[in-house]
Amino acid sequence: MSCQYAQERLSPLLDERVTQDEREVVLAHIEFCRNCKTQYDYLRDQRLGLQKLPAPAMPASLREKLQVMASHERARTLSRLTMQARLEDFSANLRLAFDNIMRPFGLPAASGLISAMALFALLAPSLSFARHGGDDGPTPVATYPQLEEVGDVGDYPQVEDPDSFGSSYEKVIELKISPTGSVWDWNVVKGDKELTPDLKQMILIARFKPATVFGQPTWGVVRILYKHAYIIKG
Amino acid sequence: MKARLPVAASILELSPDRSAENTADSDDLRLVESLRFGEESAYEDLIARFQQPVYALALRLLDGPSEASDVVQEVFLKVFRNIGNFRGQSTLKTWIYRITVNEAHNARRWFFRHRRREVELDSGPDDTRNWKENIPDGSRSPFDQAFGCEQHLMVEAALAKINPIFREAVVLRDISDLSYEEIAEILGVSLGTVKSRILRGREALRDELAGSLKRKPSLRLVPKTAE
Repeated sequence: MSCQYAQERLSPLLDERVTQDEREVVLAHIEFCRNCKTQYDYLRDQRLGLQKLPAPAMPASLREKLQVMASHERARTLSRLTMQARLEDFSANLRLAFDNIMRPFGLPAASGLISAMALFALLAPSLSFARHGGDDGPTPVATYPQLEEVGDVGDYPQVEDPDSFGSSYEKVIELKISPTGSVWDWNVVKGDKELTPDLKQMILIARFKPATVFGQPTWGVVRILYKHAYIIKG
Repeated sequence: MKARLPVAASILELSPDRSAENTADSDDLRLVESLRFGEESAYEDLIARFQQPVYALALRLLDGPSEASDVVQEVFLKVFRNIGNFRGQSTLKTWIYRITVNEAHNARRWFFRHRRREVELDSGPDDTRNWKENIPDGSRSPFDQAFGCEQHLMVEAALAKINPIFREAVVLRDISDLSYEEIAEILGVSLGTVKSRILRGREALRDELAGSLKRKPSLRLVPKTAE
């Protein structure tokens, strides 16, 4: 038997992974072969040296990490055991995801809302709104004064806006109407400058709905037209 | 091939109960079942039983404690996540060791691609030892302790230098004390390959140790007259 044959089987012999025949042959060879005996002893000592190596010290931080990991994985396992646990876990994850989304959005949104409310509270006293008095129709940009009440003055006067001018009428009086609806001033545009007492009384008594701009009452002008008897036109 | 078959058969005859050893025993199955149901004690048992051997194996297959720690975490994460897939066709130890070897292999490849130039900032294992590990051992003389320590360092250094493929086989056989069948299952190779790798690994380790024990060339002093 050659040394090569024996040396190929030294390692298996050390691990008792050779047949009984091979074992006897190799042991017989190393009895008289000094070189192979040295190799065998060396391998055996080397193996003993490896077995005696101390277990390396495990970092304490790794132990802690493994404990934490085990805890997390256990919670994960428990959350998947039953359908109810899965649903609860799903809803918890959904809530968490929603919270995580809302957290960066919530602070700016809340601060924006509070700022808007504070700004509105500061500006509210300086704001005024149109009074529609139950009229749901669209508010015209500007309106002329309108006659509301004229009193007991015989013929009802015809009122027209100041842009039209009735040439067929004998007398035309221009009235300046205040935002409160009362006659503020008058001016005879056509006809006799003198006013009859009835006409003066009518001017004093007449009440007008004031002219408006964007729904707000303002100053306005109307013309009163009449023929032989007085007729008010605006 | 024909010549090898009787040898393989005779090897199996030498250890007829090997196949029985390679399946999960009742303790393993009980532990696995408890893990599947999320029992706290099962998680503690698994960690207590395997954290040290897995760390020791990972450390010897890799280059440093930092990489070994990463691998150990990956291994336990995979074990916890895939415990439902464990069918008991191997022992729990073999299954976990196989994951460890695969993870170490992946980490080694990743390290050679990405992290060779990184500088480690994490503290070493010596800094994190608890007080029990720092108590001096009074049973041996300082010389014996120093000698033993030097021996261990030399063996570890030589082990780190040999080819990782052979190192895996030697570590699993001589340090983790696994059988050839278990090693074959862990490495996913045949029994013949295991035998060959162990043989070549031992020879490589022997050569490394012999090389490190060679006497270094001494300093040669040449007498010269002062000028």
